[in-house]
Amino acid sequence: MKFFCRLAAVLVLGVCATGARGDGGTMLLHQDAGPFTITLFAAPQPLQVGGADLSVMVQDRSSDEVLLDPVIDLSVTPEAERGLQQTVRLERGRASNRLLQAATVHFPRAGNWRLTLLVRRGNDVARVSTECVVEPDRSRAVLVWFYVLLPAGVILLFVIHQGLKFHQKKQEGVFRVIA
Amino acid sequence: MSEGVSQAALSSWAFPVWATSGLLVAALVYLRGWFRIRRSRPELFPAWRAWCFLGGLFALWIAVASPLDTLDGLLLVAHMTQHLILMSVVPPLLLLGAPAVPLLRGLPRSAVRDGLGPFFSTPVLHRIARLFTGPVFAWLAMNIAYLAWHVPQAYELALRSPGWHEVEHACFLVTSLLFWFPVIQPWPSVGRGSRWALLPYLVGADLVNTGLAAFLTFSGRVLYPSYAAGPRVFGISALGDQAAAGALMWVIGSIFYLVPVAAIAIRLLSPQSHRVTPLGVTDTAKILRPGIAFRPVQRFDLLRLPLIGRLLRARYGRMALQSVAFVIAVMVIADGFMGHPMGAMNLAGVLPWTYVRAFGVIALLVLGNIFCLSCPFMLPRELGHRLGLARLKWPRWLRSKWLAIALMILFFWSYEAFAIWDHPGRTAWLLIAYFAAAFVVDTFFRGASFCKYVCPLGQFNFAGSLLSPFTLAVRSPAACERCTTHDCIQGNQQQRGCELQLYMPQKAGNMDCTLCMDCVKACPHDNIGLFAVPPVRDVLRDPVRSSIGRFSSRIDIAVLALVVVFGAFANAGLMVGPVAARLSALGDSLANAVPLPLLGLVAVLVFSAAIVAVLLVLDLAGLWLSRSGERANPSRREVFCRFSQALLPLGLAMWVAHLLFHLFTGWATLGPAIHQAGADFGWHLLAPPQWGMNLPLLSANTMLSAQLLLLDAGLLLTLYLGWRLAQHWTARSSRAILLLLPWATSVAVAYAVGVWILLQPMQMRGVMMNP
Repeated sequence: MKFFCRLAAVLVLGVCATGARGDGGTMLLHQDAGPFTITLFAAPQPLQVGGADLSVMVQDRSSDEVLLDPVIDLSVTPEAERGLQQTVRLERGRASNRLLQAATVHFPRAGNWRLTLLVRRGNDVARVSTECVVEPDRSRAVLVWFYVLLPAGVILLFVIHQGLKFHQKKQEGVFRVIA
Repeated sequence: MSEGVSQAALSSWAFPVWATSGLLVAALVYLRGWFRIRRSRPELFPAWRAWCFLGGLFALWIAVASPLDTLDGLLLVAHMTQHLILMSVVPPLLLLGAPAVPLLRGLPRSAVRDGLGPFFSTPVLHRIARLFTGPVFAWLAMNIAYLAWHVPQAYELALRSPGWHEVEHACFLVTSLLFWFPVIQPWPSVGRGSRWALLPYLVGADLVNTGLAAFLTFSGRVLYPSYAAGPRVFGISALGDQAAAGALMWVIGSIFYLVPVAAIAIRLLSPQSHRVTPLGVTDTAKILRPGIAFRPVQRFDLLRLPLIGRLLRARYGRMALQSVAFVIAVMVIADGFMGHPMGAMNLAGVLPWTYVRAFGVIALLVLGNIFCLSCPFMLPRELGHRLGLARLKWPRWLRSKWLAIALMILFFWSYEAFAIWDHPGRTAWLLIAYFAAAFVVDTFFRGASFCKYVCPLGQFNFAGSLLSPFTLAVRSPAACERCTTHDCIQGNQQQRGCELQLYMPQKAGNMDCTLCMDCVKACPHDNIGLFAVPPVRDVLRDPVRSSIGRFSSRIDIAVLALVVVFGAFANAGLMVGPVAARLSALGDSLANAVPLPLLGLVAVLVFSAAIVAVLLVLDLAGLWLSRSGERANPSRREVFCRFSQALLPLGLAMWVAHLLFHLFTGWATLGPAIHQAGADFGWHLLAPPQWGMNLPLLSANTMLSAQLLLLDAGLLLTLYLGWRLAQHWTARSSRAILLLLPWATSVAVAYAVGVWILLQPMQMRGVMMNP
């Protein structure tokens, strides 16, 4: 029994360790623009319909020093329908990594999207753009299947549990008869 | 690097909710077990063991929550430090805490014995466990995982995908726990083979580590492209970063391997060396299965807590809570009549339907019948009592739940038919009607007739409280046997007794208990507590209950449970887009004749049909069983009554999932609604309401996850209860399965309907949404 307690403890702690993950996500853009070097990260990857975390690091182009105080606006526009542009202001408080500024952007539909960053610091202004592909939202379907199958897994475990219990009781009965 | 940048980097802490909660739970379980073992065998578990285990958990938390985690995508050296902690710091500390026995003792005994026991005693699993903790497997597992994840393709995959990143960290931690196991040999495990073998074991691992570290340090190119392509921070180049990471692995990693090598070698070579004799199996068993040396388990009594306990036991404690609720109810009524006509901008539309309902149901599952404890309708009821006109006995033919059930169905119907949630005035009238009914009934009738036989809200709470984790019960049955005055029910000069006629020595469970605390205050022996109990115990047991009888003979209580369960599905189902559209189209096709009441009527018909269908299924099952001549040979009535109550977990889960959606989506509506009420009444102390600030508290997927998880829990608990009941009635498992099958099928259908409802777009009633 003690072996399994240890094994269970190992697995539980392993699950806890999975809380560790990168902050910022996958790099979508890394480009020099004006006096800045601008890097744009996105999570999840690939981007899907729904909410996405977009975060930006701005560095001084000449010294690579991370700049903490630029004002950053991010515009996202679907390639198919330019009228649906939305613009958000990035904030440091929304990123766990305080070297970045981040915002949550909602992508309402799949397809090609253009992301434009406008970075301002004092009199310095820079604008960079990139494209990305937003895929249909599969996360919801995965999520639903996971939670629907979860009880099936628990029931299966319970059935095994009851089977083992029954088997052990039966064996105890045999031993008692022999004794 | 400026000071601001370094401060920003150092303040980059994350707060991983699941990991933090998991670690806290592990710490609490360990400490509980540790304290319990310490009572009988303090020499086995000195304080340093607990400190080691807690230190290991803390190191794990540092690895997953500190700037090491948030910076690992930018700096390889940060990432390697994180891995080093996960592989070389956390596992030895955890194992030094000898966690096996404390974790087992920290869990409830029945969970270990009945839940985990059958798994733990399986020979196949024992063999697998023996293999996993053997030195050859452990060495290979750790080193293969270590090398494989440092192959550039695998490493890049982990950097690109958060999911694979999590798998990588789990691999490192799990294989390292296995690796350090033979080295530490945490008590009560016994070493296999010679301790001398540990020297090549550790040195071999160090050689692998040294090889990889040297490769990273001296490689002339950046091995992981993400670090080359990404931004460079702190003025360190990608190649410099890689060399620093390699050096760190080399030096610090080697220390973690070579220090134990030295310690083991010294110990083995020392002439005075002695090894602690491990305790035998019997000693371990003694600790796992405590005998008389252990104190009996004491039940947790909420009334013994300093603050809450004092408030609940205070003479005017309940009245204080009721007064607050009464003032809120008066405000709701006033705003309902005189405030903004739109439900979503009025206290009468927001407070009762978004907040009170949700908190009431959550409180039922977390604590108990808190709504009845602080019920505002009690104050006019008290007033009615004091008029001294209460001389009549409640009619015998009405002493059941049928009237309250009819009123509850009437309420469900009128809620939809008259869109009460959207008309503040109607909500206000409903509250006034409730106050009036409570006043009239208890002015003329003795006892708590309104609560026990009339109040539909109270019946809902009574049914829900069958799953509550706390119940009022006697502390010592012997004290009750010696008692001659029975103040808990008779009352005395200072305090009345239980008005719901629940005699404490025979009271079982929460049915009909309003948590009024009258019995607690009346008992001269201070023999009543509010104890923690297993939440489903009330449904599993069927003793003769004071003033109630047996559940198995009370069809009205069974139907009450069914109405609560199917009310959850009907209430939520009528709010989802497809159902509302269909019913609306149906109303239009019927010549536009009073569409709203018609919708309600259809709802009641569907609702009743569902209940009848379940009744039939359950009856068939009962009929089959009654012919089987099994162990208990229950009647159809008993089968129906008990199975109906077993549905409660699923129904309550649906209520919570539904009401939480409204609460979390409209969580910020109360503030603007109060400001709006202030403006409507001309109180200019409050600023004008800002309706635009309302955004959902959780993202759509997180909300759906929480709802589905609740429904899953409800389903599993319901099936478990059904299984236990079936086992009670029939000795053979095959017969129990057959008995359960029709009922379980209806449960599965209800679950599927619940999932479908949760996946549909739901009307946001009583909530102003930000566009």
